[in-house]
Amino acid sequence: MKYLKQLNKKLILGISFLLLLFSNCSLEEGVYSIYTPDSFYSNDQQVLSSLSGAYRNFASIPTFGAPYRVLECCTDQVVVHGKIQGWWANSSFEQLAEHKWDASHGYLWSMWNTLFTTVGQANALIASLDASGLDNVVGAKAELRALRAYAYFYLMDLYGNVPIFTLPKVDPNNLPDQNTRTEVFDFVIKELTEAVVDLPSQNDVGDEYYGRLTKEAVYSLLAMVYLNAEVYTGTAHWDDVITYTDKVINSGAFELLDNYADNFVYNNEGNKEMIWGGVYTPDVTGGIGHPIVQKVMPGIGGGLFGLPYTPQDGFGTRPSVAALYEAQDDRFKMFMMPGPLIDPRNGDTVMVEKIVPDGNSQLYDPATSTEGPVPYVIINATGIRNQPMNAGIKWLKWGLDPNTNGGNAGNDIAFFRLAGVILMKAEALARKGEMSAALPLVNQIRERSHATPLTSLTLNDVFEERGRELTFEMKRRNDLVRFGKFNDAWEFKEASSDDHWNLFPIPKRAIDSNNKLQQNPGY
Amino acid sequence: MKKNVLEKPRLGKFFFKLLMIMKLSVFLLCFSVLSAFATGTYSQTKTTKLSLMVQNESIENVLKTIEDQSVYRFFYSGNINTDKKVSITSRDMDIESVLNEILKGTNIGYKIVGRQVALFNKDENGFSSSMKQTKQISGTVTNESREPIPGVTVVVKGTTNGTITDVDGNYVLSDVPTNAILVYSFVGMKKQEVALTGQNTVNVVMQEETIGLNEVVAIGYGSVRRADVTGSISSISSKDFNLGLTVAPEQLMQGKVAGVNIIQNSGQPGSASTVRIRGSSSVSAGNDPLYVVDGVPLQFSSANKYVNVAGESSTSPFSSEGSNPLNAINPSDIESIEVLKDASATAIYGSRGANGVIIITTKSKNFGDAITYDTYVGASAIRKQLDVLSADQYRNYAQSNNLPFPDEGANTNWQDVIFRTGLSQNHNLSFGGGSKTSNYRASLGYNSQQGIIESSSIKKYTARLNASQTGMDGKLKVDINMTYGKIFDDLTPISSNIGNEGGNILKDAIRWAPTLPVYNADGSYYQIGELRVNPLSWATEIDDQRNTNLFLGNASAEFEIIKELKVKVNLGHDDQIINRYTSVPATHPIGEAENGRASISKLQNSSNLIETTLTFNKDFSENSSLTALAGYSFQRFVTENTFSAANQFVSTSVKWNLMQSGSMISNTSYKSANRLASMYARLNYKLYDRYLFTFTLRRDGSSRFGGNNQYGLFPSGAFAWKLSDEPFFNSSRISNMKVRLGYGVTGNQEIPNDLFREQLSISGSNVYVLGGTAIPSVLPSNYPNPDLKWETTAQSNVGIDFGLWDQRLTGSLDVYKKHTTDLLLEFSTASPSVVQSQWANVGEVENNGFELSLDGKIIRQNDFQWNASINFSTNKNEVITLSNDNFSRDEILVNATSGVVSNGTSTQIIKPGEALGTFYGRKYTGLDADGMETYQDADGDGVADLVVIGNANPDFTYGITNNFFWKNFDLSINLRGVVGNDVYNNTAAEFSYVNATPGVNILQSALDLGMSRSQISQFSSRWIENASYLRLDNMNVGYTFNTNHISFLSKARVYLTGQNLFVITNYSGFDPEVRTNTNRGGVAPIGIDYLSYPRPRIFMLGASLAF
Repeated sequence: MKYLKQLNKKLILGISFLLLLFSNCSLEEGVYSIYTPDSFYSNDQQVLSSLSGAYRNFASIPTFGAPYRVLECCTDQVVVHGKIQGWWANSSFEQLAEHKWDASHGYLWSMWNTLFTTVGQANALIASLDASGLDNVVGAKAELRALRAYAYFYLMDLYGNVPIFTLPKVDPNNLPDQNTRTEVFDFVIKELTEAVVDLPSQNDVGDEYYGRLTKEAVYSLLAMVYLNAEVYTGTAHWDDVITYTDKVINSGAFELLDNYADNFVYNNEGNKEMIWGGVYTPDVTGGIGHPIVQKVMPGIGGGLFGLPYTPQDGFGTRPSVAALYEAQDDRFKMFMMPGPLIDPRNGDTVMVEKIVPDGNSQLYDPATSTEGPVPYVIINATGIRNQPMNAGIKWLKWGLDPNTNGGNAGNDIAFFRLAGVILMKAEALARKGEMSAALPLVNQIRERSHATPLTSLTLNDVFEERGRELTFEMKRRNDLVRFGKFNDAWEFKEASSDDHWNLFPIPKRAIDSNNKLQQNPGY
Repeated sequence: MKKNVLEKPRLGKFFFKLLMIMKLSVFLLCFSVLSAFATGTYSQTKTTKLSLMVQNESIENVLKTIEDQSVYRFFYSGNINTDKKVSITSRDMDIESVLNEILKGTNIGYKIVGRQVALFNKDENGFSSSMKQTKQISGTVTNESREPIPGVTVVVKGTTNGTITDVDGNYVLSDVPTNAILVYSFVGMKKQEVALTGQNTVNVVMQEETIGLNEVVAIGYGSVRRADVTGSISSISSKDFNLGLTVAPEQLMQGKVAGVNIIQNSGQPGSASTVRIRGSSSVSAGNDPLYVVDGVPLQFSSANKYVNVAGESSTSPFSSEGSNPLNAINPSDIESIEVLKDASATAIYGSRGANGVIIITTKSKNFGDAITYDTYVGASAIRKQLDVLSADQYRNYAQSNNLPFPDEGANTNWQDVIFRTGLSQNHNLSFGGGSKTSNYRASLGYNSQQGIIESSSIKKYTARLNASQTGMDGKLKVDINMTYGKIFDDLTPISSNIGNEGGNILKDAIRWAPTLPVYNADGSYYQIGELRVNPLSWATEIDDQRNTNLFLGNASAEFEIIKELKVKVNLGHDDQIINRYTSVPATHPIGEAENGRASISKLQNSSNLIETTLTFNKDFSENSSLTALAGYSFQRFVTENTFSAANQFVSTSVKWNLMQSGSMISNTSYKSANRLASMYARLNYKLYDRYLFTFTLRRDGSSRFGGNNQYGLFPSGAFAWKLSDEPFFNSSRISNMKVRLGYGVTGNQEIPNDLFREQLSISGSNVYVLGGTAIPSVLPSNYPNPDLKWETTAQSNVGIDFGLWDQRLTGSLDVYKKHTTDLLLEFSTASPSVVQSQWANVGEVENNGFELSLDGKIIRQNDFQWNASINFSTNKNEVITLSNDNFSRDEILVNATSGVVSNGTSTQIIKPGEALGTFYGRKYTGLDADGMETYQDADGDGVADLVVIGNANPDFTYGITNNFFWKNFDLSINLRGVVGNDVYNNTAAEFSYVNATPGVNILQSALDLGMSRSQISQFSSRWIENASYLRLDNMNVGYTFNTNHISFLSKARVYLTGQNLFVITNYSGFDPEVRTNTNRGGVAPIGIDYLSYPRPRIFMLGASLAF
C-alpha cells in the first residue's frame, strides 16, 4: 500500500507536470499577415483597397511591358530595332514586327493573363462585396463590372472567342466554356449599359474621384466597342457610336486642351481632355510608373535631356508614320528624325564625345573631353536586327518627367481622351456617308495642332487622322484591322493574304490549363 | 550481439562464457577513432588517470564504470567470476593500479592491449586439450597493431575442441585433424576462420568488427542494434564521411548511401543540395526528407522558400538559389547520419515521413579526454570552361559575314576574368571530459571558402556543447545539446531566372564580345550599358551579403520509473535568422537610373518542440523481449520576415546602412505559423532472437489543414527473420542472413500555411493612387479549400541483409514500391481567376526501386588492407493519374525556363504514364538544305509535334568507395556515377545559334553546326543531352605519425585531398550534375542547366591532431 501511495504521488506529480507542459498545445493557430473576407469588408476604405488592386492591374497595360508591346509592336507605329551588340534583339519583338507569332509567344500569354486577372479580380470582389452586407457598394460594384467589361473588350478584340465567366471561382472540374466573339460582344454591351447607370458623371465628382471610372468613361468605351462591332459580329453599329460619343461630348465635362503636348506632360493628371486613364506615381512607395522615356530615347549617357539615367534605346518608329504629318503640325514635334538629335527642351543639337555604334555614347563634357564634340546623328534603320545604336526614328510623346524613379515616369496615360472620342464620332459619321458632318470634327482636331484644315473628307482621311492624333496610344491595331490594313506591307514587314493574323492565337498556356478552349483558325 | 553458443565441451575441461559489458556507444566511438588512425597505437592511454569511488559493487559494475570513464573496453573469456563485491577509492590512478586493486585475491588475470583489456582465468591460462591427436597447432593471435591478444577462443570448426590464448596471445591446440578449419573468435573482433594446409603454426591477426551487427542505429525516438533492425535504414558514421571541402552535412554522405540521391545544386560555396530518398513522389508539396537533429525534427524546406525573397523584380540579377540551413551544423560535430528509407522506418514520423527521414546525431563525448584540433587549407579552381569564340574567331565570323560588330581591339577571355583560384581554410577544436556521472563535449569551428567566381565566398563559425549528467543513482539522466552557427555569405549576382533583357555575371562573361576590354584607359570598367554589364563589375561593384544565424538546442530528462519503464521529456528550440543585404551603387550601369539601390531582407524561422515518451523494455524470458514506446509531441513553427528597399540615395557609399538617405520603394512584413500535435506508439517484439516484429502508429494533427481533415493516421508494420540464426541454418559461407518485410503509410504536409482559408492580402507593398491618395491594394490571394488533407504514401519494402565469409562481405538488398495518393498539387488556375494557382489533393505517383549495397574487406593483411564498398540504386517514377473528384487534367506543362530560347515556354510535362521530370517539346530531326531546323511532324499538318523528348531521372546511380591502408598510410577513393539522365542544356541552346552573334559571343561549336542565320533559337530535343557521368569525387591520402614517443601528442595525421578530380561524361556544359533554380526561390526543377555556378576542382592539405 505504501509503495502504491508513493507511486501515486509520483504519478500525480508527473502527470501534472506533463499537463502543464502540454496545456498550450492546441492546434488553433493564429492568422497574422492575411485578411479573411468575412472579417475584412466593414467600411468604405476597405472596399476602396480592393478597387485599388483591380485598377492597378488594369493600369499595367500601358506601362510598356508585354501588354503594350502586344498592342503596339504588331502595328506599323512602334518598332524595335535590334542592336549590334544584341540589345533588344530577340525573337519576341521580331515575331511581332514580322507577324510571325505563335501560340507560345510569351507576351501574348502575359496580355491574356493581365486581362483575365482583371476579370477574376472583378468576379471575386463583386462576390465579396455582395457578401459583406455593406449597403453602399453599388458604385464600387458598377466600377468593377465596367472594368471587367473593359477587359472583355480587349479579350474579344485580341483573342476572339473567350469564355465569359462571372462566378467568383472557377471549378477545376467544370472549367469555363468558350463563348463566341458575338456572345462576348453582347455581354460587354450589356454589362456596360447596366453598370453605367450606377456610376457618377464626371460633372458630379471632383479630384477625389480621379482615376476611377465615370459614366463618360464607360460611354467612351461603349462607343469604341460599337465602332469595332462590325469586326466582331459582322454588324455595324455606327449610330450607337454617335449616340455614345455625343453623350461624352455633350456632357460638357471635357474640352480639348489648347496645346496638344499638354495632354502628355508629367503633371497631366486631371486635365480637361482626359476622360479616363492610368495613374502613375513612381515616387510613391509601392506605386507604379512607366519607363517610356527610358525605353525609347537613344543610348546617350551623361545626362541626356537632363535625365538621371542612360536611356535604353528600345522602341522606335517608322518613316511612314512620321511622313503623315505636315511640318508645322505640333504633333510632328514628337519625332526625332534622321539627322542631328535636337534637345526638345531648348532646340539645341545634342553634342556627344563620339557616336558609338555598338554602345552608349556620352554627352560631350568640355571638362573631360578627349575627342569631341560631334553632333549625335540619327540615321535610318535598315532592318530590325544588327542595327547601330543611332539607327531608327525616335519619339518623345509623353514628355520628360523631372521626377523619375528607376527610369519610371509619372505621366498619366489616357485610355480615353476627348480628341479620340471626337474622332470616333467623325468616323461613324463618315462611315454613314455624312462627310459634311464629319469634316468639322476632324478639322477641330487638326486645327488644335496647327495642321492645315481639310476641305473635303474621305474615310481614309479619318483613318490617317486617327493615326496622327492617337499615335502610340494603343488604338492602332484596332484601326488597322477595322480598315482592313493590318495585313498590308510596311517597312520591314511583308504583306500577307492570310487574314488569320487579325486575331491572336489563344495562348498555349491558357489552353494547357483549360482544354475546352479551341484554338483560333490558322494557329 | 550474436550470442556465441557453444555446445558443452566434449572434454568438459573448460566452459567459457563470453561477456561483453562494453557500452554500444563506446563501440561507436571506437570506430570513429580507429578509422581516423587506423594503424595508430594506444600505448598513451596507459597514462589515463582514473578516479573511482566504489563501495561494495560487483567487479562487473566497477569495470562498467571504468568503461564509462575511459577508453578501455573489457573482454572476458574463460570461466571467470565477476560477481565478487569490491570497494575501491582511487584518485588519478592508472589503469593497472586500479585493476590490481580490484582483482586482488581473485583468480582473474588481465592483459592490457592498447585500449582492450582482456580478463582471463589464471587457473585456466594457456589451457589446451591434451588428447592424443596426430597434429598440434600453435601460434600467436595479435590485433592489427601487432599486439598480442589474450583470451581469444580458438576452436576446431564443427567440434568443441578448443582453447584460449594466453597473456602473450599464444595458444597451442592439439587433436587437430590435418584438414581442419580453425575458428578464432573474440568479442568485438571479427571472427576468423583459417583452413589448415599442412602447417603447424598459425598466426592470426584479428580485426575490429567494423561492420558490426552490434552497432547501434538511431530509428527515431530510440535506437536499436543493427542486427535487430526491421526497416530499411542506412547508417553512415563519421569514419565513412566524405572528406574534403564540405560545408553542409548532407554532402558527407553524397554517393555513399543506396537510394539517396544528393545533388549539390551549384558550385557556389555553401549552396543548397537537393536530397531525394527513393525518388520524388510529390509535385508541389516538396520532396525533401525530414531532418531530425539530436531528436529535434526541423522544418527547413518550406521556410527556405522565403529566404530568397529579395523583393526584387523578376529581372533581378541577384542569386535566387536557396540557402542551405544545414550549413550551420559543423560536419565535424556529427557522429552519425541515419537515413530511414522505407515506411516501416519512417512511419514513426507520420505526416512528415513520406520523403524519408535523415537523423543526424552529434558527438556527445570526446574519447579519452583528448583535445583534438583539425585543420586544412584548400584551393579550388574551375574544372572546365565553356569554349566560346576567341577574339580572332569572333572577328573572322563577323567580317566574313559582313556584319558590323563591336571591337575595341582587345582579346579578352571573359571567363578567365571572372574565374579565380579560391582559397579555403578550416579549423576545428574540440575537447571534452567527464566523470562517473557526467560528460561533455565542446567544439568550435571556423571555415572559410572562396568561390571560384570573383567575390563569392562563405565564412562560417560554429560552436557546440553537448553535455549529460546522471543523478538519483543513475535513474535520472539529463542531456543538453546546443549548437550555434553563424554564416557570412558573399553572393555573386548569378540569377538564372531572369528575363532576356538583363544579365548576370556568368551570362555576361559568356556573351560579352572578346574584342572588348575589361578596363578603359583610365582604369575604370569598360561598360556598354545597363543591358550589357561588364562581367567583372558585377562581382566587384554589386554587394549581396547574407548572414545566417542558427541556434539549435534541446534539453531532455529521462527518468527510470521502474526498471522496465522510462519516461523522457524533451524540449527543443531552433531559431534561424537570415539577413540578406544588397546594394547597387549609383555609378554602376544598373544602379544609374535609380541613383543607387539597396535592400534589407530579414527572415526568422523558429520552432519549439515539447515531447514526452514512455519506453517500456522487458525481457520476458530467454526467448522473447518487448520494447514499447508511446509518445506525444507538439511542435510550433513560426516564420517572419521583413523586407525594405530604397533607391535615390544621397550617396550610395552607405549601402544598406542608412536607408533613410534614400527613398523607400518597398517595405513589407510577413508572419505565419503552423502547429503539429502528434501521438505515436511503437512496439518492437523479438522472439527467439530470430523473429523481429515492429509496429508503429502515429496520429498527426496539423494546423495547416482545415477542420475537415485536420488529423491523419499513419500505421506501419515490419517483420524480420534472422535466418542465419536458425538451428537448421548451417552454411560455412553465409555468416549472417536476415530477411525484412515492411509496409507502412506516411504523409507529406510541406505546403504553405493557411491554404485552407480564403485569403486577402497585398502583393509586395503595392498601392494605387485613386483620388490623389495612395491606397494599399488588397486582393484575394487564395481560394479556400477546407478539404485539403495530407498527401499519403503507402510503401512496401522487402529486404535482405547478408554477410558472407564471416562478414568479410556484407550487404543489403532492398526492393520497394511507393504509391503516393492525394498529391498536394498546386496547379495554375484556369482563366479567369483572381489567383494564379490553387491547391487540391489530386493525382497519384508511383516509385519502384531496387537498392543494393555491398561492403567488402578485400585484402586483410598485416601491413595492407583494402576495403571497398559499392552502392547501386535504381528508381522508376511514374505519374499514375492527375484526376479525381476535385480536379481532372490530362497533362500539366511545367518548368518554364528563362533566356532567349524558351523564355516562358514549358520544358517538362506531368502526364500519366510518364515520370516527373519528363521533357516535352519538339523533336529535332536535323537541318534542311537551307540550314533551318526541322522537327518531327508525324501527322504532316505542317506543325511540329509536341512529344516526350527526354527524362531527367537517371536509370541508375552508383557509388564506389575504396579504402586502402598500408603501414601508416591510408588512401581513399570515392567514385560516383549516374547513368541515363537527361539535362536540358539551356546555356548551350542560348549560345549555339549563329544569328545571335556578333550581338553576343557564342560557343565555338556553334560555328560547325551549319545553321542558317535566319534560324532563331528554339527549344527542342536538340538541346536535351544525356548527362550520364562518372565522377572521381574525392581522393584522399593520409599519413598517421607514430606518436608513441611524444608525450603530449596522442594522434597526428596529415592528409592531402583532391575533390572533383575528373568527370567522365559526354555532357557539354560546365557540369552534368546540375539543378538550376529557374523559378525564383522555389524548388529547383530537375534536369535544367542554365548558367549555374560551376562546380570547382579542389585540392586541400589537412592535419588532425589530438593531445
